Amino acid sequence: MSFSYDIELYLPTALHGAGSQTESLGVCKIITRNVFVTVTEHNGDAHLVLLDEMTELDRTQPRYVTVIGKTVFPRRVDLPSKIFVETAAGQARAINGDQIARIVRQGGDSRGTGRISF
Amino acid sequence: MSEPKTRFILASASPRRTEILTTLGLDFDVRVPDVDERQLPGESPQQYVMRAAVAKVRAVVNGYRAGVVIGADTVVVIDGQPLGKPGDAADAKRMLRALGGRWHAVMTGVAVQRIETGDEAVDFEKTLVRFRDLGDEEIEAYIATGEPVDKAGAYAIQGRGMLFVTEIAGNYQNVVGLPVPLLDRLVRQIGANLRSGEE
Repeated sequence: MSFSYDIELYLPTALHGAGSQTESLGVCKIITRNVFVTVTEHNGDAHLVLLDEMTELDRTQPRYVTVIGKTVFPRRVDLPSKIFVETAAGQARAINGDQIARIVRQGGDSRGTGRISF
Repeated sequence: MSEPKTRFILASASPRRTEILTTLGLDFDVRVPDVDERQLPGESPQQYVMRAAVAKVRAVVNGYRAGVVIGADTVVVIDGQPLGKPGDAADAKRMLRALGGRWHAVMTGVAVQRIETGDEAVDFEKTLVRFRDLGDEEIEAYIATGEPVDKAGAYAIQGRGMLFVTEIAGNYQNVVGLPVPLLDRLVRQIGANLRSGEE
């Protein structure tokens, strides 16, 4: 199942993190399959979470919300180096994972995929 | 010793072509070429898709020093006339009415260029597709989904448009927009290999 996401990118000149400037790419479909997000906890432990298991990911905080509504505040979250998306205009575009500031799932039932891995 | 990794560049804005290369496991970039996609007078559909594919490759090749650039262009052909992307809803309706209850051809021109050597190869693939009879009401409902926009022939076989297809003769990926066996052959012709671009 593919979801649509509202994606915000860091402005190229902006510093990453809280208070940094972003621009909206609009609602996009993710073309790349199985996008794994690396989540680093405050104790240094890192694990992988599928983007499909998140309804919201905010790298400026950093913070993410799982499909069962749990909000997690890890030390950092990293996306893959390259993700392909289909923009609202129907064009393919490659995005560097570091460019992504915020990503919010749009529409559909956001709960209960039954694949929580942590 | 393992083969050196090849960088691939897809000269196309098509999300479906991006998806096919992603499925192949290739590490590649996407560059959207700025080319005039209009058919020239007297040009056959085959000549047209191959010329457009080459034009896309050449439009993006300057930005790179090494790798393989892939370009492709797809048209739907019925009664010898190519159907490109519909300009508006009325155009999409006209196209879908023409396709209902009949066989049509889908042609994709594929061009590749190896940047280091300038070697280029181009060819086209043809697949026949048969639609069942289509009523105006379902055509209008399909157009209202927004799917026909930006699709050659105003339908997507990988989307809701699959409901219209009763038979297909030839390569399925060609109808989606990128015939992989042809791409594989052309890439080999210029001395590269799709497997050397795997992530």
